[in-house]
Amino acid sequence: MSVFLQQVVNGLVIGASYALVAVGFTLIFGVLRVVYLAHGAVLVAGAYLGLFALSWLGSITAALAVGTIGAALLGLVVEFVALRPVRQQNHLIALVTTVSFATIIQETLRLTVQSGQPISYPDNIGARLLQAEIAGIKLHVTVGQLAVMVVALVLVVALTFIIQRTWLGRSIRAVADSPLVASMLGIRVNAISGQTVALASALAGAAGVLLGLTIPAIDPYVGEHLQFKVLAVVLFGGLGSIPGAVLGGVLLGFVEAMAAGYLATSYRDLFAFMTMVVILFFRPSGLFGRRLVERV
Amino acid sequence: MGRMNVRAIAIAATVLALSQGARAQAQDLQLATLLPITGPYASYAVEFRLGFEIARDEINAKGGVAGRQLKLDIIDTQSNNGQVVSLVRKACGEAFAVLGPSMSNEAQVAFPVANGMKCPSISSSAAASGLTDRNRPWTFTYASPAQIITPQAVELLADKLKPKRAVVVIDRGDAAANDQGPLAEKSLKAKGVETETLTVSGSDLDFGPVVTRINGLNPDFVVLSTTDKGAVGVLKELKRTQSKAAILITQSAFTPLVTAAGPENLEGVYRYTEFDPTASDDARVKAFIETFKSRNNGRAPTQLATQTYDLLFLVKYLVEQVKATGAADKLADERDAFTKKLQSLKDWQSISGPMSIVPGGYANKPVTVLVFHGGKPERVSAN
Repeated sequence: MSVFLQQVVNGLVIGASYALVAVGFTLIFGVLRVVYLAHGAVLVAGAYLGLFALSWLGSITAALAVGTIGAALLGLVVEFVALRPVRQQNHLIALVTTVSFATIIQETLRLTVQSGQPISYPDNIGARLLQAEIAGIKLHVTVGQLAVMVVALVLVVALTFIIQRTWLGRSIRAVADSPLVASMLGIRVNAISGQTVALASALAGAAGVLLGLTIPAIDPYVGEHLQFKVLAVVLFGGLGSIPGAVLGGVLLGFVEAMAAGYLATSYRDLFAFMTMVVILFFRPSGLFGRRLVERV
Repeated sequence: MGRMNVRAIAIAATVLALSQGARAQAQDLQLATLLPITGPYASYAVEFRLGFEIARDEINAKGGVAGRQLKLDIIDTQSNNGQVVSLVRKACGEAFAVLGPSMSNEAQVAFPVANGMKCPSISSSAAASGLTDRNRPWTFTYASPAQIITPQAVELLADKLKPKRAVVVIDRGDAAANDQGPLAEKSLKAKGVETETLTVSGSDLDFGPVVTRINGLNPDFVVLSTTDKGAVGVLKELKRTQSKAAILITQSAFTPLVTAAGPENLEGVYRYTEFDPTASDDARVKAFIETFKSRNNGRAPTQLATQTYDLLFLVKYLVEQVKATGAADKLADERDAFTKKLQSLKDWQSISGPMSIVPGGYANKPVTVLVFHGGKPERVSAN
């Protein structure tokens, strides 16, 4: 029983990591409806910036600040160079430009930072183990993993509030529905697009630093595999749904932990993607997505 | 007339300069070097490449190979087996010999091609079982294969530690890990140790589930036959959860990333290798370590770098012994002589000790088992 409960905790930890990344992704992909595949690379850039800040300043807070702000600025550049010029074109072009930019980021990191060798974050408070005993069963989680879970929860509340209740959120939704109508209503489409990507990139940067504190090592390619899983999470959680992204991430994490814990880690991805396919088969718009109807 | 003379002189000078350059290039000894500069194996390539480059610089500084400058044509395999086949085919068509691929995954697809083209291909560290045995007589590996050293190391530790229950963690996606892990499992079972096998993947970021499972099995011995990231992930999680199991990290898993895990995480952890440069008192090894550290942000080398370093000096020795010129009309005969000389190599003095090549085409070196105490590796004796 203790093993099973610990696996449940492991699942929540993995799921929170996916949710943390998915929340930013769903902003761009789901809300702006742009095929954006530079999110993983921006996350990794944030992780590296956080690592440098932690190594030089010795402060996790500083690492988070530097990683978040640095990733936001990088996001602005990506939006300006890879998204804005092709916004009115076929979605495949945005896919190509963002993948290209992601490759540029990855290769720049590989060429400039320790020749792309994996680097671990220095041992810090994030590695400290927290143990609790519930009904005689010992469970554990690290400080870093707990931070990821808490931050993911805070983000879903904060972002939902921003999107639903603030002027910025209304503007983002207006641009997502129709950039033309939004601009006629006085909304500066380019500025909103930039701010959305910057916000999502800031979330990616923060996610990168938090993940860096919990995973064995970072390297320029660590965001790639993560990005495709998170893309699937966003789809099956429901495009544009922030609670859906979080729930999707947690569900995926749970399935992976159970597959790895009771079958084999090599089944982890198999079961994860099978779950997504099944959910999308029965609910094509995802768990929390709304049906998209195109009127002709 | 004056202008025509100037023009004629300029043309003649240009032709002369070009022919001098061509002659200089013909004098260079060119070796194609296949390395995974990009992709998932890029971290290993840092050591491979630096070992080659330090050796090349030392050789060229002392006059080169029989008076010719040594030139390494470094080719990126992108850690992609699909690329490797065409790359080795091209390399064999252009160079005297091919150094690499260094990864077992890649050597598995490259060696049949090189052997079919009668092109000497020498890997510095591909250690998967049977690689060169299946591709005689043109392929070699400077490493002792896993089927030799892994059982030696595991049996030594099984006799010393006398575990009752063991877990072997394997990354099935990596050829070397997928080779060493089952060998470790077989050796443990042969010693009567109850053994279970679990798998991890190179793309995993979180090792909580597999470590929870390991702890649930309550082993007293854990073998990590993974890539370096997997080894660090599982190791740190085992230490964090205060697992009491003795831990052995296989050769495929041990890179500077694991060393960087720190003395606390490595305390009491075992590893095995053909050679640990940091445990050597040899002045030449110490000089190599200092040069390496100065070019690798202070990180010390492992045997991955000493293997490529040694390999280039070995090639120098062989080329000089057979007096190979690399001339196109003599290529087949010179490659044949080079290969035969390599096949018969006995007790050649490398920086890791005397080295011989066995009929199977691999290096015969005794295994060294080490344990970390206070961040430093110490030799483990059999009793």
